[in-house]
Amino acid sequence: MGKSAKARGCAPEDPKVLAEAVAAIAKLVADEGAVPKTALAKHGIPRAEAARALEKLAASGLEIAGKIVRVPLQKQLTSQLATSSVLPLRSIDSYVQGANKRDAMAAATELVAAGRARFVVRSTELLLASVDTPTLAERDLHRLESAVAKLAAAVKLARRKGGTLLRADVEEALRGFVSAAPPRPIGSTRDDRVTGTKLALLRDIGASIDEHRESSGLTWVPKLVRALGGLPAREAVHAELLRGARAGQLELRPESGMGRLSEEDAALCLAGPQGSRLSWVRRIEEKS
Amino acid sequence: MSTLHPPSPSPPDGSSPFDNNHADPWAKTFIDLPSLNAKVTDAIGAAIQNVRLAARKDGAELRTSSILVLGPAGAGKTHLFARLRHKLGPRAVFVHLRPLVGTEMTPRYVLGQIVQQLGYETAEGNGLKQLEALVGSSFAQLDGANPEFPRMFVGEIAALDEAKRAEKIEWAVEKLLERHQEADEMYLARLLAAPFMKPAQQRAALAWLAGRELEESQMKRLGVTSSLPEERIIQALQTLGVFAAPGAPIVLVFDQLENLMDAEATGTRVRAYANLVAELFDTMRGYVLVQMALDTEWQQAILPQLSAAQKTRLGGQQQVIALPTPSQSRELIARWIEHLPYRAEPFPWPFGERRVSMWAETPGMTPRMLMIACKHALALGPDAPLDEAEVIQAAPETVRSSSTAIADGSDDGADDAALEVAWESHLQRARAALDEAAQDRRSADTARLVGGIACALRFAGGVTTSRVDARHHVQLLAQAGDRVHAVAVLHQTHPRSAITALERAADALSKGAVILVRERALEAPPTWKVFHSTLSTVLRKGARWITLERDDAARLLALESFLAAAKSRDLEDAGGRAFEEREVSHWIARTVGVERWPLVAALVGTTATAASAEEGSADAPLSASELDASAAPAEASTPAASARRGKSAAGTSGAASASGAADTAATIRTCLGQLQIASLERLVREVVRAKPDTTRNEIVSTLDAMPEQVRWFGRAIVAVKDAIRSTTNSDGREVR
Repeated sequence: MGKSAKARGCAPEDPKVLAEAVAAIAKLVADEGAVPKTALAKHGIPRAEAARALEKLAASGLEIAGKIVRVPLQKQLTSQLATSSVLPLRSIDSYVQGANKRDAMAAATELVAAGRARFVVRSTELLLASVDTPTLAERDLHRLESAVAKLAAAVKLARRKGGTLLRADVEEALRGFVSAAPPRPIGSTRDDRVTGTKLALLRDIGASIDEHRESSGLTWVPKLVRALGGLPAREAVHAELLRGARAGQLELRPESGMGRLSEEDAALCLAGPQGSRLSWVRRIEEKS
Repeated sequence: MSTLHPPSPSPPDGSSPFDNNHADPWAKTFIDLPSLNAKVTDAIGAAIQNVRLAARKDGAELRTSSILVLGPAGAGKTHLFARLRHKLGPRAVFVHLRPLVGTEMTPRYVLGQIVQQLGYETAEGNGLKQLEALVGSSFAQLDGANPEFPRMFVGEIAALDEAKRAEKIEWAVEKLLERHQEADEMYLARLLAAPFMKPAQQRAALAWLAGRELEESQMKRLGVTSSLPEERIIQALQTLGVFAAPGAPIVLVFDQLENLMDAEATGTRVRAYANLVAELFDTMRGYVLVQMALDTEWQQAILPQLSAAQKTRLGGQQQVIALPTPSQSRELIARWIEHLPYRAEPFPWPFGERRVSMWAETPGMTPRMLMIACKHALALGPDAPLDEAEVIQAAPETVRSSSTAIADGSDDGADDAALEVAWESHLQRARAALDEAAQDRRSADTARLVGGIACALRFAGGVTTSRVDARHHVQLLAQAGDRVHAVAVLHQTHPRSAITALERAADALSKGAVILVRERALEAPPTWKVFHSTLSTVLRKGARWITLERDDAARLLALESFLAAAKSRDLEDAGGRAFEEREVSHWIARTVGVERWPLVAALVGTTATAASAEEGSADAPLSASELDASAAPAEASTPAASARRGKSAAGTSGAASASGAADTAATIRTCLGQLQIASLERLVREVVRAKPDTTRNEIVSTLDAMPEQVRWFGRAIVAVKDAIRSTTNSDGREVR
């Protein structure tokens, strides 16, 4: 049984027909994530035109890898991270089409290197997380390392002496880390995050920043903290402000008045770099 | 940053971008990240373009626009000025102003600054001055050519012979007057002709255009009988505005508005400034006014003082300076690194990824903070591991606040060193400003000088100032003890106006003491006979005379700008924390020895010896006992007495007796203890005053024999070592 003329790709093709076939394959790749190169022939592209068709597919942003035409792996991973904020690296290849584990890992590593994702550790497992997933920044990690080491030493001493630790001390040591981000289940979907677990405080802060905005467009942090409960709410408000700042939604600004920050107001501001106090906040609507 | 210095030269090869934490508005080379605060740059650029387009369109309504830029210290306000200069080149004239600490800004001051800064180069380089750009673009515009390339037109007109050039200028004046009836014809003519004048005539023309007082010779050169009178100042500003608008609109940048705040928080200076800007906004056409302030100061201190009308004029269009995003911070650091003279590895070398990420992601990091962090990390070396202490604590919990740092009093030595370096740099800039003034044959900026005196008097115990206004003949009133002292800075360069100033100052004698001050650089020539005789009369009535040496004037100017920088939080410790103003004041009080400066010492000394000053012959120099008691090493005598001393040191022997020191070494120790650092000539003068039989050679050989107490800088400057300091108390008296 011989192949049909179309399948063998013997017949010369009209350029318009070729373009249509390429478009159809591109759509198929977009839908499926990846298709084998053999799909070209199935879509009527003669063998002689295959190279040109692949060039066009590559030019349209698809990846040609071995016998596969696929959506770029980084793009596939980014799409996955948009719906599920973390992906276990152990089975990372199962989240992409048209790639083996090694290729998928390489793509994940490139994403992290480009700052578009992060590696995070959960228990003993390494995960790939989207950049907007609340994680500990480098300096927080550093502080946590130090806090945990101190706690571990305290636990060891307690064991040796037959004692225990004060719960308040443990809470105090870890407070900056456990309250820094709202309790958001790792692995929850984006929709969950928007609709389900957002704290009321978040909404309060956003509204309060707008409500207390001065004519300069800035909001005075002490005023904001007072509006949201004063000193008892300080840590939670600060944590939210920091989270907003790290997510690029808020800008915290250092105080630069001439001794206008009273002791009481200073206590309600965040500690800033180089001994400054972060006394103003503003929403970032567009990149300046 | 002072506005009163010429463009600084390019940094020498091998310099590091981290050498200076503060932007220089007139820097020829600078490192920029255009995406950072592009919105603010575009807003100001658009305002300039709108003015230019409106000015070129017949029948269009030409107005002045006003933009307010707010940001924390170190966010890049002054950098923005430098960026706009570089971006627009000769297509705009940039004038950088800041409120003066001790006096109000006036239209005359603004006019003076515009004309002075017309002499600065455009950022286009190749020596094209803003004045040439302004005049060249105007000629181009009148010729129907593209005004964005003014150099060619300046060159063409310069190449014409004198008659043809005069004809061309006359034609241009006529054309401009047709368009702008409100323009001052004489002002326009001089402005158009100024770039083509010979240096001496150009100096005179610029002095006239700036509203400064002219010397007699300058008047003769220009064929005028007086300087620009007060009633023509506003018209001159109007003329400049409409003249510049079509080609290179004038951008007046009022920086460091926080310096409007006075210690008493009366708001008087804020309101006076607001009136000035409102007047410029309402009565001038074709200007772009940019005001820059610290956000807290604007919101909490300045804004509440403004009326509704002033708020719309000053703060109508607001722009907030954004801090760099993490990616912008990285990019900024990478660009700085590119300018390091030596780079062993690609970025993030030499800081390492951990450090750079930490800096970039820390909320609240200003570009200046980034620069300081880089500078420190660079000092640690490229392979230094990230230390716990370096980890930036941008965190909810309270860490070191500036107030606790002050209370701790920790790192006093390092803080003192940082302030010492900053003070030296302000002194250098003040000296440069004096050199520039001397080149133009004018006094130091009177407003700044008076501001400096007001600042200095804050450090004199028991002295309070009640009026500070550089516009009057008696610029400052100070209460010392139960007496009011009127201080008159005689900055006039024409004898007639100097005499008028003297007479006005003499009127104040009926209410209290009068101190007359004049710079050594402006010493009244012997040909001013009427002046000298009037002065003698005034001194006989009880006024006192102080000659400000160059160093004295430099210190006053430096103090004024130093305190302004403190207010703007532009003075940082080694860790990058901005000093509070009171910390700076405390350091000045402890270290600078303001109470020993001649003017302050004279005032305080007058309090102590008021009776004797009233009784004694006023035109005699201070007695030696006064010299010792008030530690007034500078000339405290009349110009005539000064001249006498110039002829013969022995001539003053009767007036200046020895302070009681037994030998020359003791006298040197006393004098040098008061001066701390001085030129050899100055020291010789002082020692001879105190011990008239001493010769120069004897002083030099005695100094050489005192290596433990005296430090030489070359063979021209001598300074005191700690040994003398410790033997001399704050009054300058020897205690051992």
